[in-house]
Amino acid sequence: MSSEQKRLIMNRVRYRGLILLLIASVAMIVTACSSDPVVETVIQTVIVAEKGDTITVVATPTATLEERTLATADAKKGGHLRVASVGSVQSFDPLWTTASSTGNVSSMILEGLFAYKEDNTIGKMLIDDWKVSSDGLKWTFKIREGVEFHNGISLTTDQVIGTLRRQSERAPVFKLVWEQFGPTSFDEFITKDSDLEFSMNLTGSTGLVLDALGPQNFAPQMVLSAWYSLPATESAEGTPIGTGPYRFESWTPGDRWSAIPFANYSPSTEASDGESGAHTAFFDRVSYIEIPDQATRIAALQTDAVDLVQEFSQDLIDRVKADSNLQLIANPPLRLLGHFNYQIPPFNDPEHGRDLRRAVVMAYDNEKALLAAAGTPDRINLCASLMECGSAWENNAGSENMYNAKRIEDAKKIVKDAGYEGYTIRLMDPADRQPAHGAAQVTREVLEDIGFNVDLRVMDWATMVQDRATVDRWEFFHTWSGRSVRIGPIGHLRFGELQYEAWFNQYSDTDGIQRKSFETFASETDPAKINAAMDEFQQYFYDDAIFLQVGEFFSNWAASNQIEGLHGNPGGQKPYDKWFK
Amino acid sequence: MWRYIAQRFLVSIPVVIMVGIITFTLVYVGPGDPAAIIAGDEATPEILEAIREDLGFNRSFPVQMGDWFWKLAHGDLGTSYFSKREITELITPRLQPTLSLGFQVVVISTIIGITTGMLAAWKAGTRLDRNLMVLAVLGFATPGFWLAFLTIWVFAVNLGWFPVIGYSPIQDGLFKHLHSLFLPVMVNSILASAFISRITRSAMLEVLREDYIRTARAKGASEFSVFLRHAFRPSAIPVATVIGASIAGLATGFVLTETIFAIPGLGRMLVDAIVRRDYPIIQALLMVVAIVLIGVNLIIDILYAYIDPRIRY
Repeated sequence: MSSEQKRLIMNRVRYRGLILLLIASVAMIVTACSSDPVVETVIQTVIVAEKGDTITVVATPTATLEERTLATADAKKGGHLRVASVGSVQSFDPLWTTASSTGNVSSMILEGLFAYKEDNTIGKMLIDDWKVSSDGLKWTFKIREGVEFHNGISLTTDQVIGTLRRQSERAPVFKLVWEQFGPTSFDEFITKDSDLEFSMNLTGSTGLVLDALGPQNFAPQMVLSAWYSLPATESAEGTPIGTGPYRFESWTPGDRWSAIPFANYSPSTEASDGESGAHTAFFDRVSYIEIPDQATRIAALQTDAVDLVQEFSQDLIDRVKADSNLQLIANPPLRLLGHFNYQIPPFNDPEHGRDLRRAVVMAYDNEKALLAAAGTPDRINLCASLMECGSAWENNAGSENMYNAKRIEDAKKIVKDAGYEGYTIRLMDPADRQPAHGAAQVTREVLEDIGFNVDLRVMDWATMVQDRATVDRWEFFHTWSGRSVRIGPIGHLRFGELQYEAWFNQYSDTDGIQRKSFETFASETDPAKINAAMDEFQQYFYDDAIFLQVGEFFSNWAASNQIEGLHGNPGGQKPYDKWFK
Repeated sequence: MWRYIAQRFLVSIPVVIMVGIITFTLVYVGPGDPAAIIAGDEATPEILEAIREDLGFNRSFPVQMGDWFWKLAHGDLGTSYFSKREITELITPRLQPTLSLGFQVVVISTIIGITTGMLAAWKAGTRLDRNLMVLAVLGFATPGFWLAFLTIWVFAVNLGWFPVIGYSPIQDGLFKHLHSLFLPVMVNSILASAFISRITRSAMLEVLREDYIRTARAKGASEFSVFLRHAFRPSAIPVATVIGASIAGLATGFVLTETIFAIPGLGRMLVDAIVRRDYPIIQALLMVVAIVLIGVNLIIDILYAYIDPRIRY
């Protein structure tokens, strides 16, 4: 072989590298994993720490607030809490995105007007007091005096109203109250009375006023004018400035960000209770470290490189259990769902669509799908109730013979009689999201068993997020969401008023029953009547098969057993009111 | 030589432009919508449209590409959709981890690969040769992620010799820096040196069969001299090529390594950007990597002329 020939061959080899890079990049775009699904407000938490073979309850939901308050009295300040966070933080603006990596900002830097107490009721945060007019149509709120932002600016109603205005299109409960019970103009709806007082002016009474100002997706957390003057669709630049117990310290993009105690923090006069009340920043520094790989997160925890790990996969639980220096934390359950496309056949068929949706629901093997999603029986909860199992809203109306019923033959007959036997269902399968991916495999079996053909479209989450927005690209997909106790179905993303306008589902509610139920929820203040409405709605949910309720599954956190103060209620895993032994 | 270098440099410019066009087009036609990711599940069509307008998606493809090239020509890599920060500002702190990792891997894998390859060629057919080549085959047949987890489990979790995570920049101390990167360097070096070792052995064996080697031996030249003076230099051309190709492989391999070892480098930045469909970052990083690879090729071309004076362009 001549040297010239060799050179030509070598040139081919070299440029092959460039071509390979381009091919690899395209492949990654197609297959890479994607952004976090929306995480709704987290309410109920169960924490169990397991050391070796001995299960030790660190703090249970039954532990009283008084007991924890007493324990806090012995707490000492100091130390550096290192948290292995989920996802890479791209924006510090939780008013713009619900990404969980950004949500960590809400945990300690920004504060809202109200926050959840441990018993899931609404507690005061930046609000000092309020009064209601005799007709219930004017609510006047007074904010706490002496609260400072981290840059020294005092909190006034200017920032409160500005923040509410920015979130008015995105915070679902606030939007609902404004649209259904408020005047058209925002300036008439929320008015400034003084630097420390503002009013919410209603045209009809509702029991959701405090919830509208409280925790929810895109919750109004107080920010300065540089942020609240931005459109709701635009991310704020720079780093967060709030009124919380910790203030932002530094950010190394792609690696970590940290916060340190805010010296001029003005705590509430009320005792700490869940996420509300007076908080204490015990740690000298809190760092959120980006560790994308789940196995590496646990290895980092085992080698004392971090102290707390936010989420990891089921197959790593045994490693955590086997390490006597770690505690296992079971997170609040998540709700696994399946959505029908209401815009195209077969599920929008005016004559048969409802029956076909019911056929899918009645044939479904919920237990198998939950196991495929979560891995082991102890991480799932077969829960037919639309709202939280164990909450005041739990009920099973309408679910008999519909939930986990596995009525394949009945469903098969429905599909055949409707003339859709052999009809192809495009099932989107986000392979990089195990809960949805696992459920999709079971859904494929069920759909085929009842007579449909299935076109299983394997993709990554980001592609699915795009495709579900395009009406004619799918018939069914799975996703999951968090839970919401306090604001009930109104605050639940899947039932919210916004669902009608949202681009991925557009449930038609042709007979108006859902809207009627929601109006009852929103305007009623009598718990008995609210529960009766819930029963009615739950029955309707299964009759109409609005979507597929698969059930609940649990994700995991793990922590060093040197951390004290973790507990199972709202606020239990936030960095405030926790300390090292 | 300078004329040759200048020619090669000028030829690289249309290559960079072509890479830019291909990169932009692939990202444009690829699936995924950053506006939908930003909007979240509750977004109304109006909010989604407003986000698209804000990000400039409503402009035509040629306008978007033209705008991108115009900014690129002025040294502006663009702004991240999500963080709203200048991409140059985001890339700068990520350069050191990736470059340091790459430099160490190239140096170590070259030394190990060439040494073992030469040893195997020298002792061709012996047990040493077979053992070395078995190790080399194992080296490039082993999945990188598996090797990474294995090293974490052995050297970090069980022995506690090296950190799992916690990249330490050079300015915090050279030893600390090398210590923090030891495991990822080891993993990548094993994979890269296996390839170099195989190529070095086969290139050396080919040269050792040449007539002039027999002549050198007949003249009484020592084996050491035959190997280093007469055989190694001609063998260095394919070896240099393979080292260049390994650098291309490393560029993609670092995506995996930086993700597993939580190193805040360019590879992980690319993954994060792809996950979010942060197009400006994806385009910028692919351009950066492409330019680096074109630069590596240019250097190898120059090395060719140095290694083999017969090669003239």
